[in-house]
This record gives sequence, structure tokens and C-alpha cells, in this order.
Amino acid sequence: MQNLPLKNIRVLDFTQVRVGPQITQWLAVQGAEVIRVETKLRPESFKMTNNPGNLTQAAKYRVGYFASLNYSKHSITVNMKSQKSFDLIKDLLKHIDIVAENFRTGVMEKWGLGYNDLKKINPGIILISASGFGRTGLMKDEPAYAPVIDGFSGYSYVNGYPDGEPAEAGARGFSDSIAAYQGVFALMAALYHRSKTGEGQFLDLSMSEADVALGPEAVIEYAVTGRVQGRLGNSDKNMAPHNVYRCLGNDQWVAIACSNDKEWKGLCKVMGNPKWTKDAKFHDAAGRRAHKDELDALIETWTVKQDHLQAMKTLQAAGVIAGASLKVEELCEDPHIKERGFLVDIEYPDKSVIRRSALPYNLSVSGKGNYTHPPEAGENNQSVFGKIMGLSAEKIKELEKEQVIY
Amino acid sequence: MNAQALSGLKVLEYGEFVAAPYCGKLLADLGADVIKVEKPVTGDRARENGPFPQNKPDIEKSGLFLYLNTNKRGVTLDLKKAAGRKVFHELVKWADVLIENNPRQDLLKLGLDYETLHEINPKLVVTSITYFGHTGPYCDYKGCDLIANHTSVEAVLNPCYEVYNEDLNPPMKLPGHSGDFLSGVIAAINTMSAVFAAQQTGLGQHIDLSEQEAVASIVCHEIGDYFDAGITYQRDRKYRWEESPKYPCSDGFIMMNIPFQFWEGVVRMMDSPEWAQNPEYKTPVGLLHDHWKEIQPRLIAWFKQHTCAEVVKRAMAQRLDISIVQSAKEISDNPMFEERGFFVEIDHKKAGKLKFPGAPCKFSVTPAQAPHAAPLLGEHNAEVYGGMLGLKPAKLSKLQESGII
Repeated sequence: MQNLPLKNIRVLDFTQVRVGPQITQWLAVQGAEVIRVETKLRPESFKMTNNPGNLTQAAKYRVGYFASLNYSKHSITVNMKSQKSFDLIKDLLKHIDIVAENFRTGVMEKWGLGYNDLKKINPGIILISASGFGRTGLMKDEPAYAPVIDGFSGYSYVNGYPDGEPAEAGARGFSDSIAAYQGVFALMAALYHRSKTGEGQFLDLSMSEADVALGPEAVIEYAVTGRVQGRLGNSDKNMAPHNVYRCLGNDQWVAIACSNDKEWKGLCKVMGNPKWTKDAKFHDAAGRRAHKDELDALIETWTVKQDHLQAMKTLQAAGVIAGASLKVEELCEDPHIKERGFLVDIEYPDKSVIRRSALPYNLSVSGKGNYTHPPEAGENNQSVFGKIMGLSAEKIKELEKEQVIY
Repeated sequence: MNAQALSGLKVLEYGEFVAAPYCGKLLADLGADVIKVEKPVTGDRARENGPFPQNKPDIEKSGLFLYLNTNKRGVTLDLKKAAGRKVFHELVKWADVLIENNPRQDLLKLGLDYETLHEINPKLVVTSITYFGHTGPYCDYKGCDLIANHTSVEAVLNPCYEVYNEDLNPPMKLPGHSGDFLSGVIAAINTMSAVFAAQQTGLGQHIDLSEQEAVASIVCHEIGDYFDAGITYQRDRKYRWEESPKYPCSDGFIMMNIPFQFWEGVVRMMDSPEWAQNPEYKTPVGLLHDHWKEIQPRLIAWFKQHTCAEVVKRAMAQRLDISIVQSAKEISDNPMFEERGFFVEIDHKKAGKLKFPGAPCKFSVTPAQAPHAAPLLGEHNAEVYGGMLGLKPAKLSKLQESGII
């Protein structure tokens, strides 16, 4: 095991679907021992979701969404219908630093695992509860999946073409992801406080609040000017050009932006300084902004004859801000992404391998983090109940037989 | 006052616009002592961004800057001059962490590359945010939020539409400077990780965060699907298992998830019209596969006859998963945010009182501190250079006269 910053931190992970697992994944990659609490009573919902065709049930946990969000973790299985299981979990909690959950409000309390219960078992525990609208307040009991949070937090209202309707964000689970990252940072701060005081605490992560805090610009605009900002598409209030332009081929595009006149001149030069670029109305940023649509159409007469990847390279070589609109398959095969090690191969005990995107975690000494295979349900029952809790092999066998460990 | 989670952490911020300042803000709002270094006269580029009250540009009144720099102390320093860099080195000796988002080549030119900083203060954590990272063939490429979105696949998937036409629907960036903000929070996670490592080893290290990777990390499912099954996505719903959750009402849009188990609630929400009680809709396949094409237009017709507020009220009575597509005004006036005390008031010397979004997460023991407004340009020069670094008044005025601070 590498010498990673969270190597002494142990996490009990009650999370499922997206936001919760994405939080604990960050901890696992930084070296924490993340123990997922699962059950054979029913499979994790993401183990059944969007798994590509005709896999045996046993193979499914290895691919698909579950694998994308749960690598580097461990798994135990307990029977949450048996009181003995709760006793077992409560014993385990004495060895735990962080608990994470994203159930509906009240589920942990019903199980006797609310923050006040956890604090009595172990005052150093940090509990993070991720929910759509927080654990207090008018909407604490409301369900919330990503698109609803997109709508509530204002992303959808401003996400869209200037003349079009509001839209769901592109990447699936966008609002879960950004809330998860906010939650991870909150955990890191709470750990820092604990490292100095020994004190644990309760972190109430509301996805809708985390998302407004990370996408605050329309709200700031309203606070400062009273204006309700509409949709801007690819354009920018200050820069022009600032858009995406069609290139050679099907659905190929290059994004170009000029933040000053020098970059604009660089762009003109790469395009071969056509006559229209001499027009006085394009000479400064204000003029280019005022004639943005005309400017975009003229730039596209050049880009439409270019390969999008080559256009990015040529423009960047000339000091112009440019980037190809990369498709999934292009990013996954991109030499820059590959050289930086953003894609990781994760090997299972039987030597089969899956490839995933790494987390953007990149430290010069600690390295890029810990990447081990997503666990099979109950894969770590022996080590967790045996090594951490000190139960004998016979005792574990007995609990398995009684379907407590199950 | 309660203790702050990050009290005692000393942070130097030499960055501008969004990514590095957002990272600094996250640390500062939880109690870290963040000193922000700006260039003299014009300061951080976010000061020119606005929005401005009455649309009158004023470097002390830019909304974006005021949001991103709460709870920091601000100093000015010209790092292009040797005397300025000498003062900066003193700040580097003071700090536990340096956050920056300058182009790699600019740092090299200023002699502020990681190796040099490490020599000055071996315990220092240096968090570098760039668009493409410090290694790899694109490492010196220029960028902005637009580029981070388009080179990370996110834009190719956005906006996600029911029907999409390549000619009408170019790939589109996320709103605002989402990629920059996202990079800021990821930088803050990486920074804390390196701070923990420094607690254990006594040594700092260099964090190399690429905004392209920061945004690509939220595309993890689509990347996984490519490697597992060769699936390639576009801006349509072809590979989505759920139907479009967006419905038009008479005065706006709502988002509503309708998984099979919610269908009965949806029927009741509409006062149980006869068409919706078709027995063939009572299985998941019947509802979402066989008949959805005839159901969807009828649903839309019903939504269009009602206001968003009315639909939400009815849907919430049935415990359905729903929200209005809220505008900034609706968010700012939302009673739930009000009740949870999410928004905070900033009282700024020049810009006055502003209602801004507050902490992204609630801490039971160490809540985020009541916000101190963002610093005026050079507001804390005397306090930091004179008080903290102990520069003599004569030396300070000399630096001032030569335009270094």
C-alpha cells in the first residue's frame, strides 16, 4: 500500500447511487480504507443499471456505473433486518473515523445510527449526510435525483442556447458530481479540525445548496443588478470571438476564444488574414462583441475547412485560445490525456481488467492515489470482522450461518 | 464564536479570476488565513468582470470578485520586479499553502516554479491549476472555461435534448464559469490532502491540477461505458434509460422524474383522468416502453394547462420528485433556502449590502464564518507587510513609491 495522506482513516460507507459513492471514492483514492456496507437482501441499484448486455449477474458488479464510482473500496454485507447486525455495526463504529450516507432523511435515525447515536459510540466520528435539500427545513423529506436538482439550483435555467429552452446538463449526474466534490472538501476540513481537537461533527450536505454555491453567477447578477440572466450558450459577456465553430467532418467542432487584441491578431493570421478581418468594426473587443453573430459566421467559413484537432494545434501554436470539442472516444484515445495518466487500468484478482477515468488527484510526492478493483458484495467480510474487530473465524462463520453477516 | 475548521492554516493566493480564488475562498470561509496577492493598480482580472451595480465598471464593485474573495486579506505586489519577488519570498516562508492558477511559463519566467519555492520553504504545499496541467503535449496550451468544457467531453453531451439535430445543436459549454469553479473545489480537496501529508512527513509537495481533467471527471459514466461497451454519446437521449424529465407549464418549465413507482402519484396529481388509468400502464414495460409515446404528449398537454407553482404543489402532495426550473430570482427568494439560512449578507465598504450564496455544506461544530467582505485592492498592505512581515515604514513607503506595492 502506498503512503497516501488518508492511509490512517477508516470510512463506513452506507451510500448508494451517485452522490454518496462519489464522495467516498475520493477518500478511497486518497488512501482511506472505505468499507461499503452492503446486503445480499437486495443489490445496489447501480449494479443493475445500464450494464452493457447479457452479463451474468455475478459479472455485473465489475462493469457499468457501479464500477465507475466504487473502485478502491472494500465491502461487507450485513442483514439490516436483524438486530444482531446493528449490534455488529455499532461495534465496528468504534473503529471508524468517517460515516457517509445518502438515504432519505430519517433512515439512519430509524436504525439507531443517527449522528447523536454515533457520537455516543465514538465522539470522534464525522458523519456526512448527502441529500437533495438538506436534513432540516421545508424540503428535508423530498426525494431528489439529478435533473430535479439541476432545475432547483438554477443550472438548467441558464443552461441552453440563447434562443432555446432551458436544458438538463450534459454529463449524467452533473449536479450529483459537483455536490459530491463540495462534500469531499467539507470532509477534509472536518478531518483537519479533528486532527487538532479530536472532535468529530455532523456535515449536512444539501445538493441544492452545494450546487448554487458552485454555480452562483446568475444569483450574483441578480443580487448586484436585479437582472435575471438568461441563457448564453457558448458566448461570453466580455470575450468575442468566444464560441464553437464547425469543422470538417460529421459533428466536429473547435472552440475559439480571444481575450485580447493580440490573440485576435493571432487568429486572423492563422486564418490567412482574409479581407473581412480588416473591417474596423472588428478591431477591438467592443466592436467584435457588438457584431458577434456576423463575426462567428465569418470565422466558420475558415474552420469549416479545417480538421478540428489540427485547428486546435495550429491556433494554440499561434498563441490563440482554442480547444477541439472532444467526443468520449477522442478523449479516451487522446495522447495528452494518456500521457498524464488520467485513464487507469484496474485489475481484478482473476486478472481481468477494466479501464476508468482517474480522479483529478495529482500530487508530486503522494502520487495519483490508490486504484484497486470495485469490491464484490461481502468481499472483505473476513478482514473487516476478523482483523479490525478481532472476531474469530468461528464467530464469523456462526454469524454467517445466522444470516447476520449476509 | 465557535472555532473554525481551518483555523491556523496559512494560505497564500497568487491567482486570479475564478479557479484559484474559489479554492482560496473555500479555505478562507472555513477559517484559514488567506492572503491574496494582486498586481498593483488593476488587481485580479475578476475585478473587471462585473456584474456591476448600475452597470458602471468599478474595480471595487465587481460581483464575481466580491463573491470569490470573501474572508481574505488582500495585498498588492508587483512580481515582475525583483524587489517585489523578494517580498513574495517572505510571504512564501510564512505560508503553509500557495494556491495559484498562472500559466506554467509565466511562473518559470518569474522564478516561481515549484523547485524554487520548495527551496525557500520545504514545507510549502503548492497548488497549481492550469487548463491542461504541467505535463503532457498540451501543457502550455492556453485555455478558459470554454476550452475546459469543450476538451473534456462535457460540451459534446450538452445540452441533453429529446430530439437533436447536429446542424442546430452545436456542443455547448456549461453555464457561467462552471469548469473554473469545479476546478477550484477539486484544488481545495487536493490541497487539504497535501496538508495532511505535510502533517505526517513535514514536507510539502506540488499539486498539478488540469481543468480538462477536472471537468472530464464528471463524465466518468460515459467514459466507463466507452471502455466497457464502446458506447459513444452525443447530445441526445439515445443511451439514457430515463425519459426527458423536462415539461413545459403555462409559465415556465419544471423538471420531474417519473420512474414507474411514481406513476400512480402522477395520475392522482392530474386528478385521475380516465386515459391515465389504462390498465396497460400498470407495468413498467407497459408504461415506459410500450405506451410512453402516447402518454408523453398527454402529460405535456396537462402540464401546459397549469402554472409551475400549481404543478409543484400538486406533485409534492403526492411525494413526487419535482422542481421548478428556477431562475436566479426564484432561487434568491426560495423559502427553503431562507429557512435554512443558506444566503448570507455581505456588507462591502464600496458596493454596500449584497445577498450572496453561503456555505456549500453545514458543519455542526465548526460552521462557516460570517463573511467578511472581499478586500479592497491593497487593503491589507500595511497590516501584512508592516505588521506581519515587520517591514519598516521607510521600506514600505519606498516600495509604494516604486509601484511595487
